[in-house]
Amino acid sequence: MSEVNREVVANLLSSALGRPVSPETDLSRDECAGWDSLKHVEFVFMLEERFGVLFPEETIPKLNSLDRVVSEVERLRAA
Amino acid sequence: MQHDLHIEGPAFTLRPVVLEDSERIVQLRSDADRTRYMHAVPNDVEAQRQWLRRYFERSGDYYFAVMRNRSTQIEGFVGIYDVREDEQGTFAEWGRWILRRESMAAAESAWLIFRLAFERLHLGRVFSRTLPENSAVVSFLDRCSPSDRRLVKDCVELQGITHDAVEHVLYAPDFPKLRAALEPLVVRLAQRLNSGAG
Repeated sequence: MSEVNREVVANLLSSALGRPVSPETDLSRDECAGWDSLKHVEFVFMLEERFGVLFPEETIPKLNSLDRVVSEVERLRAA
Repeated sequence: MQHDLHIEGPAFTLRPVVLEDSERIVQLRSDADRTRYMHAVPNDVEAQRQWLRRYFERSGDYYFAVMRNRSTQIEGFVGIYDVREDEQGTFAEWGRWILRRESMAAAESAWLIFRLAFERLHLGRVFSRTLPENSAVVSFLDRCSPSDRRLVKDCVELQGITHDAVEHVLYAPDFPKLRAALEPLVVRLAQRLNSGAG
């Protein structure tokens, strides 16, 4: 499986949310007040551009934590 | 009220609510997770039908179903209501905004309801009230009305309990800038949704 740089994902999430995100912790949407629908879509588009992947529509709402995102990007890149 | 306002966006359409939507309204509003920050409705389709019959008789109240263009599936509902005038002009509250779990309609349905308010109803301003605990929606609306938000004390009653609410106001002169800011995201997301890509 192609390893995804977790720090890159955290930086993209930080950029979308407008706040620091540590790659060391698994920040989730539930515990982040500012992670709203608009920022989520923007984050998804950033991920797709950066990693050259296309998330299936049904996956997009499920990308709700750093761990889930890293895992899903790795899965798509390996496919 | 009975109305024929429609607005079609690139992936979703707002169309008038009809009596036959009662079941879908009850289905969505019976989901405790989706409605913990809204008024409760009885899990009773006939009661919802009666509510809609009273709504059809009420003026200044526009209730819409959020329909996915490609499938015609109803993703949720949203409304503009209590249209009235004051010294600043005509204004209304918007809300009753609920979408099915994992719906991708949030950005476009908000964009469309604002377009309806300002481009079709020609309102001077619209406001919404959101419980502070509903942080994702507060954050979303902060983006739409960054300069006009305030905390209103004890203004919303839910299930017998009075709550403070975050009020966001959007004025007609500010809407073109917001529309332009949201439109690229709405269009890009719609292209993905319509293509079935991924």
